[in-house]
Amino acid sequence: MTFSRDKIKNVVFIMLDTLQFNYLGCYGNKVVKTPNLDRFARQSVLFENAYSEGLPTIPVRRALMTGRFTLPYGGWQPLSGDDTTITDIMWGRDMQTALVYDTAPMRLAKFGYSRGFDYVDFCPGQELDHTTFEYHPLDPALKPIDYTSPSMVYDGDGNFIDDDSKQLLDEIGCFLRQQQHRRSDTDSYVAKVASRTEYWLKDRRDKSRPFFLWVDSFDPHEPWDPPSVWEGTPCPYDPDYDGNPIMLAPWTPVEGRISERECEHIRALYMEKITMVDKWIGKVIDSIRQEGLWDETMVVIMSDHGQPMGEGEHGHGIMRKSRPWPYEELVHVPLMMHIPGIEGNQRIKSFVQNVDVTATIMDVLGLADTEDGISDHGMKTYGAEDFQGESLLPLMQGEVDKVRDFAIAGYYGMSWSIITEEYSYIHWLVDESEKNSADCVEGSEKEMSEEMWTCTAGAKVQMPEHNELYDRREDPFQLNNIAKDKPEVAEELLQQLKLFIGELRTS
Amino acid sequence: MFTTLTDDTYQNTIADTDDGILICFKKQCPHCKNMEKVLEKFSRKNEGISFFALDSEENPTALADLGAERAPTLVFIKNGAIATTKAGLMNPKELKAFYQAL
Repeated sequence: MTFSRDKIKNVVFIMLDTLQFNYLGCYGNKVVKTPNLDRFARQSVLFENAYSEGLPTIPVRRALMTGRFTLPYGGWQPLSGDDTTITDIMWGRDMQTALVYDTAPMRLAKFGYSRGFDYVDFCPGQELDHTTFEYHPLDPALKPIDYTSPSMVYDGDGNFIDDDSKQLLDEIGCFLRQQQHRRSDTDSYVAKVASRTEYWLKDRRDKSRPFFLWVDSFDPHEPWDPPSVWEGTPCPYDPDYDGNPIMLAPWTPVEGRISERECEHIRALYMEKITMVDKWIGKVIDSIRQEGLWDETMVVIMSDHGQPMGEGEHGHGIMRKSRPWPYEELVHVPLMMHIPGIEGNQRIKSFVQNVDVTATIMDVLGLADTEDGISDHGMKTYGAEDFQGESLLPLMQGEVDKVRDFAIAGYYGMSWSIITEEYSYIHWLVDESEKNSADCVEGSEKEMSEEMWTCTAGAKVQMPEHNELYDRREDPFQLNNIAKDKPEVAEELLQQLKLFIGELRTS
Repeated sequence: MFTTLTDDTYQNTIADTDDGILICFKKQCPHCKNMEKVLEKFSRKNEGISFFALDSEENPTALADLGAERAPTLVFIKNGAIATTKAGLMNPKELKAFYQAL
């Protein structure tokens, strides 16, 4: 089958939150079992160097929905009236749109991330929606403290260590209130999202019309509650662990709070959860094929970010996204695309970013060159004229080697980083003390100062002392900062980064 | 497309201009280059507006008088007088909205 836009009617976009790129068999992990995603990779095009630009969850969705970089513009914010999303562009065209999701940040009040979808199915209960279950009575046999390590919660005298302790137990309590009704993994979050997606594909959609389906599964984001936690059996990836299951850990640095062994066990539970996600998403992929849609549907599977879970390459000393740090384990994401007519089993090295995924979807659907307009009834219609991404089609067809020489990542208002083949560089927008104390959404409140976008007469480039430079070939997980050894490289990368972000800011 | 202004010429030029935008730039400033591109795009859609450029480092009188310590600073001219100045970056949509609001 050759590639032809006329033959491709539909797009299925599958987002799996917090699926770290190096926790998949197809990305080289030799321990975790992900047979379905690995099979999909063999049948599709796998991108080895895909990077999310603005973190965390919400900026990634915004970049994907608008096709525009967020780092120069905003962080954890609602979609605005000025944003034009892919569903806005699809309005007025022959395209039915559907969103099946349990990623609760998208459902925050006034955030509007379900905007423009004809069919919306929100599955409740994940983090940020967990508190809606706060007052459900809880089976007295289920105690939050049994689902985490007491040493993460209590000090030597039996008191809460700090407010994070209380928050941790409350959060676990909310998940227990939901999962007390669970009887098998069919009741897990990802299973629900997958089953409700299959229902839409098999029964609910209008089979006579093309469709754009966005599946947003919050799993494998924590809580780390794979089957072994509920069945009371050893975790298959860490059967010798003899402590409590660790459904959640506090939002803190690990030092003095979470032991290395506990971090290791968390990572094992995370792997078990990924295996479960692989199983259920495998069923969604199978449904697409069973419905006879494989040869007329573009399928994208990706994640938004990884997860800090410990020291060194596991998380640089933090647990969960407790700091706005854009390190490799967080920002490097898995991305795979099946496009009918494009040869499968390809691995592509070029850097790609979220906005390129959007540009590719629009290109495949023949909507890349659309412009804003007015319908014949005087209603506004929208086009892709403000997109900043590059379609990956030429890359996937072997016509070009790369679409980007580098990638950027960061947390709005807090940190920017630039990743090249040789180096990675992190530029802090805040001082060292704020870097080590701020949480991951605080930057969203920041106004980018005039200093950011202007130069004074005679001013030299100012490089914060705590900026970081890494040799990407020798040290991809950024453990050995060489900024002091190679200041000229650091300065050049900072200039390149500022110039690029300035270009994005002016387009 | 930019007419170059200097300390000697800027005042008269502004007085003679009905509708114009002046960019005060620094030669090495990457942000200025980005802003120039935005102005170029804007000029293609807005015939009738005059565009000027002034090197801040070489023209200290103008720099002080126009309050252009930071680069880029845009000076918006209407009917022979300065309507407003704005330092920093804007993208084409923002520039259009800003200009229309004057």
